[in-house]
Amino acid sequence: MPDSKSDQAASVLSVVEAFYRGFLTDDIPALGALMAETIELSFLGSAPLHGRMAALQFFEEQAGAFRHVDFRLADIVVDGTFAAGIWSETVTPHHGDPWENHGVDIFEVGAGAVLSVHEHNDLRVLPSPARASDGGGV
Amino acid sequence: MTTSSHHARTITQADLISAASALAGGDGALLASLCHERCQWWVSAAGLEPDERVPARRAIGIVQQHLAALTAPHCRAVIFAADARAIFEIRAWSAARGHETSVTAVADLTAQIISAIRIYLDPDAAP
Repeated sequence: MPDSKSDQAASVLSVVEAFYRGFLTDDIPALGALMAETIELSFLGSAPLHGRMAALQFFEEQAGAFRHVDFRLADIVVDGTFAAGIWSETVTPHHGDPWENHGVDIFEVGAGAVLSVHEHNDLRVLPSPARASDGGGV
Repeated sequence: MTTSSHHARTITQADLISAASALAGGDGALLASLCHERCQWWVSAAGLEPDERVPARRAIGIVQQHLAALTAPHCRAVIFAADARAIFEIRAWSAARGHETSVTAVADLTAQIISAIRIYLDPDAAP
């Protein structure tokens, strides 16, 4: 008999892993396919974005914004319909010195799609006005 | 690292939910009781680094002062990984920002006690 809780956890994990793959490879269509139409996307210190179109526009603007991103996903923790991705990164901009940052992304997943993503990072490294060009987290 | 008798009991998921509620509700004593006496605190907006070994009450005080500036903080998610990590996300309305903000904590568990905690604050929503 299948364990519905572990099935749910596996499903949530699968969606979140796919979301990170899409994010890290700038695969915008794949990201779009994983988003609920009403997705809420927020970055610490910035107003949330509502809806798939706004979220996709954000990720399109992010694509190729940096010379190199070494993104290290330490762990994905799942509980019910929520998941958290714990990460650190070294980002090299096209111009300027690399920076290091770390953070945690909180996902809510429903019906195989991402309902919300809240990204948290050290704003001392990247203050909120820089969020539009931040490589941090999702 | 040794665990004092004060911290010898096993932390449970209910404890972690209590810890998140304590952080949101300002019960620093409860949260401190779930942390190792040498818990490493890192609070982003306050510039507290893990190596500083800041007293729990100082770190909690900073978080509580921050939360006091927000309206209706509520724990949105408690995520628990057995024997490893707990993540709390406290969402709240920030009048200063005009939108919702958050206080999020990532707690590392060692020997069933919170041994390290990283707290991400929105500094622009601070008092």
